[in-house]
Amino acid sequence: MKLSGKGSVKYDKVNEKLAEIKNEVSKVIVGQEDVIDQILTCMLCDGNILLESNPGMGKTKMASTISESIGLDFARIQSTPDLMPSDITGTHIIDDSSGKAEFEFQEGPIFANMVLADEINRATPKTQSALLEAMQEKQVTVGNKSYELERPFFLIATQNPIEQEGTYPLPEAQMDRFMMKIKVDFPEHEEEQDIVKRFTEELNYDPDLNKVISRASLIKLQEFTRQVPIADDILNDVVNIVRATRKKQELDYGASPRASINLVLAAKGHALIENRNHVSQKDVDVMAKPVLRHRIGLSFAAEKKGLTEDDVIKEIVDGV
Amino acid sequence: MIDGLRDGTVRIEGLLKRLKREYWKVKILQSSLDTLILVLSINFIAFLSSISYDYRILGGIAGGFFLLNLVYRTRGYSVEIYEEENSELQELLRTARDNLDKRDEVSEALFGDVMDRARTVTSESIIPSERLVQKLFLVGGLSILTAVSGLVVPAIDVDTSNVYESFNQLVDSESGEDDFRGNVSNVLGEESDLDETGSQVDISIVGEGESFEESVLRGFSGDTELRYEASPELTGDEELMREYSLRIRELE
Repeated sequence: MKLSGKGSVKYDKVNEKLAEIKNEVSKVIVGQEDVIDQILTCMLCDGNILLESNPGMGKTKMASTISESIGLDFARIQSTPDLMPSDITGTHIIDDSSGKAEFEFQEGPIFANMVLADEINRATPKTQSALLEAMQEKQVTVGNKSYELERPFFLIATQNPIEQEGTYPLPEAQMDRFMMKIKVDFPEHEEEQDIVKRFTEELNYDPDLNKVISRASLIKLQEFTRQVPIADDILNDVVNIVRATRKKQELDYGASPRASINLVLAAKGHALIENRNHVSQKDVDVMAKPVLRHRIGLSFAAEKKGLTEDDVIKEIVDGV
Repeated sequence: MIDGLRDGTVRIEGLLKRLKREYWKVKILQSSLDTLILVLSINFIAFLSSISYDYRILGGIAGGFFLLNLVYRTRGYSVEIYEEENSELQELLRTARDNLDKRDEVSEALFGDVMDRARTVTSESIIPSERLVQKLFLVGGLSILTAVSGLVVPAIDVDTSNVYESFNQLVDSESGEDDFRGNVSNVLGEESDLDETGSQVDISIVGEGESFEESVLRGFSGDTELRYEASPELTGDEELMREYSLRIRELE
């Protein structure tokens, strides 16, 4: 299916609109500009996001604020071990309001434009896999019937890096379906002061956010993202970076061709956010870590040396 | 809309061609300078070493060197050269070049951007100006040395044999049938009395008349005749002289 956001936003207004979205988000979220940029990039590329951070970093607030400023329906799923797939996708219920009992499909929270699956690694693998189809195919199958999800659709999943007991680590196949794994770091001292002030001076801090763009405009922005031209040599560099992950000694396994596709797309999205009408090498360098870090596996020797995925990616990018 | 996008592509193609022309201009200039330096150096060294050579050989060397130099310099042309020298074009030109077949709004915006930024790009921007100035100074120095060496070196062996030869040929040709020197009146078939072989004509005149004092004492008279006698070598022509005199009187 080809969607079109025709007539909704002009290309010369793209940067202005993106800046307005960031401005609206900054009314609620203090700092974290890089994280917001990466989330917006993913949205421009029609990709799903895996957010990793300690609890209390404002992940849920960030996701809901972004969806509000874009005018998207927002849904939140708190993952627990007893969460069932039907709790996510929806289920058939008996409707007898018309006097005749009939099965009617009741949509689950997945039928929103932006779905936040909190602590996804606490859900069982069966429930996690229920999200796979929605992430990749933008549809869910209940019983023997498939339901298409309304575009645009994004899944933002979060996980806690420090508490692993009682969790079900996401399998590589599912990790690969996330376009980016975004790490949310602790805020700077001044930023934290601002956060404390902002959320302690009012009983319920909830500023009015303007809806900057419509859903159709977002789809148009996604079309523009795909149109951003890239030079052949930069494209070649992307492929070389991804291929290098498969040969690197410090890695048990490398990234798939889907990683190459996502890295080029992410670089295009980043170029658009940076108000550039072509992909620069800088876009690739900036996007390499969030796109690749969850698609590679460190070897035991590398972990013993204290290396992280980001260290290896940086080494690869610098070497290409 | 489609026409506009096509125009953008055409403009970019035109720009890429223009940049290639600018590149060739710079390389031709550099090769010309290198060739000039080579020619002047060879000429100067040959002069100092008193080696004579055929100018055609030097011309051949210069032509060959120019072509090889130009081929060497132009072998690696790419738009990246302009990007390196013009930071505002960084990655723009090659992206535009690699996406010439695209017809969408973002590509069109890129083409427009490239055209705007490339407006100031000329061959000057890819000339290594410092090196060029150095070469120009070298050419100037060699030219001055070549010119000055001809003035200050005294032992210049100028071959003047050709000049003498030409002069003699001229003299010889004048002594041929078209001889116009000597007594050419030839009215009465007389012989030429001009000594062509010598540069000195010896004429002595001996007078037999009375002295100035004697003439004063005697007083001037109307029928007094002054008599002169030619040198003995000319006495053979006395008859001829007389005949001339008579003819002249008759004419008068």
